[in-house]
Amino acid sequence: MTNPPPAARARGLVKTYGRDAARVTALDAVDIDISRGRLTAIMGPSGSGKSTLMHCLAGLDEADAGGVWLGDAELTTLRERDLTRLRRDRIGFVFQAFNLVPTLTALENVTLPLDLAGRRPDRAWLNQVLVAVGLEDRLGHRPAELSGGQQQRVACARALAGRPEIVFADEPTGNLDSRSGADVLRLLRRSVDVMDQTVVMVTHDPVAAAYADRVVFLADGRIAGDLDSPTAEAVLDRMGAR
Amino acid sequence: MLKVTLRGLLAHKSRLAMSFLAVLLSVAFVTGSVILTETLSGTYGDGGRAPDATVSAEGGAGAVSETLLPKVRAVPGVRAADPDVTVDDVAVIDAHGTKVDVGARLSGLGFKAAIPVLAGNWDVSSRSPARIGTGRPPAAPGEVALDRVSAEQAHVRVGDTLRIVAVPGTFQATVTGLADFKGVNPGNTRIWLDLATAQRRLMAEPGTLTSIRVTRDPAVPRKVLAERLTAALGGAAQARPESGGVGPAGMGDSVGFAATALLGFAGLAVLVGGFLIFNTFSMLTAARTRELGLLRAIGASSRQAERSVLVEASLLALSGSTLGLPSGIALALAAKAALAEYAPSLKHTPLTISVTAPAVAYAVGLAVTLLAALAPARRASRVPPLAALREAAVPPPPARRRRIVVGALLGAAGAALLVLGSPAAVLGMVLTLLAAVVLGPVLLRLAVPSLPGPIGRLGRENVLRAPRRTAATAGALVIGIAVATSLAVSAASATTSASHRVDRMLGADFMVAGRRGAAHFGAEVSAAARRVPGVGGVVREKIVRATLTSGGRRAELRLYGDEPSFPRMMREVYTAGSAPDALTGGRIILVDEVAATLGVKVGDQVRVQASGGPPSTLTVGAIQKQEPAGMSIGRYRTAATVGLDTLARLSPGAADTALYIALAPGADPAKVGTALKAALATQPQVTVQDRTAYKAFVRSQVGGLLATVYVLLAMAIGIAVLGVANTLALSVTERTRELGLLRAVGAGRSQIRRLVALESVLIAFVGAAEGLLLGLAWGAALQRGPEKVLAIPWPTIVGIVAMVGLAGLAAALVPAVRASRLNVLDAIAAD
Repeated sequence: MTNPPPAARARGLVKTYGRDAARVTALDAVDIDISRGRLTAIMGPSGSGKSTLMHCLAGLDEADAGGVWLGDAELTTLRERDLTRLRRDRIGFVFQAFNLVPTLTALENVTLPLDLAGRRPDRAWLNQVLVAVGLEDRLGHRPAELSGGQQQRVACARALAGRPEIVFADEPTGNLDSRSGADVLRLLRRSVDVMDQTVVMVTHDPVAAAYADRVVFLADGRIAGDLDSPTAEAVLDRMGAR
Repeated sequence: MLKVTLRGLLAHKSRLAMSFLAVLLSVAFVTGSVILTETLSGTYGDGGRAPDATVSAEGGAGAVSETLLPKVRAVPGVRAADPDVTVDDVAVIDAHGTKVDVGARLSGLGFKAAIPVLAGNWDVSSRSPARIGTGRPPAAPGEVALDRVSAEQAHVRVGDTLRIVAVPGTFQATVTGLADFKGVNPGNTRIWLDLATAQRRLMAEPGTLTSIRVTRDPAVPRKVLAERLTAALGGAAQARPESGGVGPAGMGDSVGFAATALLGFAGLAVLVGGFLIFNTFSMLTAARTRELGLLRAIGASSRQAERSVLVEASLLALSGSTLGLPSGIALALAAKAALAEYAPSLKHTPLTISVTAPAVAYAVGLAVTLLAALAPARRASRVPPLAALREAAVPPPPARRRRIVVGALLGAAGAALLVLGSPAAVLGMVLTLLAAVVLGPVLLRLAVPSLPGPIGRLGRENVLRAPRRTAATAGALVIGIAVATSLAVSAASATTSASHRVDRMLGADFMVAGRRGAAHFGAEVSAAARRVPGVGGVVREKIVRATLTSGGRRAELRLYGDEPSFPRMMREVYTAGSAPDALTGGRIILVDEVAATLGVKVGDQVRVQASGGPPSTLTVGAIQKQEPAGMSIGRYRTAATVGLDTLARLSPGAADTALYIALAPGADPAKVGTALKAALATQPQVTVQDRTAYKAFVRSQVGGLLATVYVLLAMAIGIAVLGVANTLALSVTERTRELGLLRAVGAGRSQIRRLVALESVLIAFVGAAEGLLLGLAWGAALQRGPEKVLAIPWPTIVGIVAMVGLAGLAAALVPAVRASRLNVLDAIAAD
């Protein structure tokens, strides 16, 4: 069987910060393929470069060398305006915290990227997403009136609402208690299983990583291996083995 | 704690730049105004060297006999007594037929009184306020000296011939010298003749002077000297210490007006600047909540937190005032240069900077800044230590209910006072302004319109997010626009009602009068006018100064002399007696206010002393309704009127000042107008006006007020732009993360720029809307009253809205670009 083309890939990605003595290599010639329709977790200790990798894949950060492709678009050649459009139309984001615009209601936050693009939301799809996040009764509330878990679920709904090619989640459960965290992770999982969404999640939590189809381990800016169909124990073992 | 404050101050230099600028601007405006006022009052004040005492006719008007000179010199304590002839009703015309009058352009600026052209005798003593710089003093009939500023402006040189139109008649003289003032140039055009010629050519009666200038022995106090002089002269004349009230009239009025206008600007600057400072400190305190919370957590008391903000404010005030002072001087210099266009004598006048200027600078700077910082300092003291641990600054819950109640009460009281009209309206203006300030944050939700699109929604919500801050930012604009709008309404109303009044009152088809202010012309002008075919009737009018007394009460005013058919030419309203009978029967017509002042009614007698003539007693023949204040159509509001023959008796030398001309039945107005102008072409000091031209002349008197409106507006908008930019800059900093998020989920740079620009324009429009409403209400309230017309200057209002929109965009320029350039990653990572 031939593999379908990956949703995103990076080749020879290099990123350094600072200069001279303070120089830090965040990414050191990283090659990675993100498979379509799967939940990929990127794991690694602090400073391993996992957030930088995600930012480069998502077009939020520029690599010093190497290339990044989203589908057939090479991000590294795109200009600011096109990158913005690409983020808006083809990528969804869930950040660790401060995901929502405080002056907008939950529903307005969900449709914000579509509104910014001047696109009409697909009603049926939007309803499906809203049912999936289970916040039908809180759509008129402002973020300040929602709990942390609810806020993250709204953020997930926003990421999914535009049917992006890929959703990037940066430590989506990092600020949540385990129960709210589990809600969010189940939601991401379901989006892959039911909606055939491609999701990339950066995390340092083995329990979170266990929801993924595949875990990519990163250390000192390099790929340190990967694991398919992980369990929390296997992830812990793998990390402990290092 | 002081160390923390100082470090904080240095660390947040850019944050403080705006409030520093606010202090600086306020101080600069106030000191600039003070310096300019001092400079102007030196210029248009006493004209340099005032005598120690002056001897003049009783009542200040009229002439004294030169025979008093030896008597005055004989009074103990008098070192010298100099004869003085100074009249202010002449016209000076150069060889090309052009009027020489440096004060004319300043008079046209809308100052209350015209700046007169002065003619007098050359003082040969060392006490003369002027000296000859070029040529020699006038010494014989047919010789004249002219002040240098006027000569330069009119290109008059020694040897040129001037025509001088004076009350007793017109004469020619050759310029023998150009004079410079020893002190400050008072700003008039001034000519000098030798004493004998001045008496003969300028005074109605031979052997008279307008006053005697007395120099004292320094050992004798001025007051004592004046008392001795009055006693020595008996009833023949009165002596006054210094020159108060006797000198050329009108100057004080001009200065007073300019000073009031300038102080008005300064007051506005302080008010708006105060708003700006208050706003900045509020925002700084909010932004520093975490820092203050940390300080409190590690043991700083709430007093220390409060003091930290106040110390910051004091340092800011001191540095702002220190730099504001030179800025104020620069501002005064610029204003002086601009005014010199209108008053050439100012070019040669240095700025007067007394100790008042720096004192005012520091007083205003410190007072305004500390007052404005007081409330934020209070708030700082209430920051709980826990605030250090919270995610973001949470604004304290607004005391909405109390705000609404207090605001509504203030607003209702203010509105009631406004409805009452004039005197109470001023308090009403203050109360409604306070209400607007108090209710501002509550009203925002109503005032900010819903806008389509995500950017529109975000912009609206961002403006509503910190209602107090938005309201305070808009507040600076509210004040300026309210004041400017109400002035614009007043000006438009005054113009319109003046036009209406001209239509209603002016019966004449043409008027012959001075181009600006008073003109004096001989009987040959009316004779020439009567000869023009198509002219049906000509009514001559003269104006002189006069003092009216009755039973110990007195009034100094202008006295019109008119021919009997005057009421047909100018339809004044007479409330008692008969005007035509009074004009033919040698009686006097008084306006109601003057009659009340003197306590007289029709049939009573008043004593009249007109300038240049003998006193006389006249019977009151009619009472005339006074024109409402500010609505005069070019006539003196308090003036009394007598028949022309009576005036000739009261003031024998008075010349004609105006002609009212009616068309003969069936005559073509255009043809007659052209013929009149041709017939009077030899008289450059007069102009022929038809009804339209007369309306334009009346309107031009309101023009100065409109100029004031635009200066005020520009100033208010300028300062408000700073305020809006300030608020935006701080809120962009505060919202770094949110902006980063927006960019991450797909907002383009142009969308971010539009968002910030929209917020700016919204704030500006909220301020403009509130300001316009208040200003219109104020303007309408000030126009309430009998015979007042309310006219709304729509073009001006549309202009204001357009200017405010542009100003909003200008204010957004820097913050918007900064917001759109934020690096998305840095923004997301920011804390």
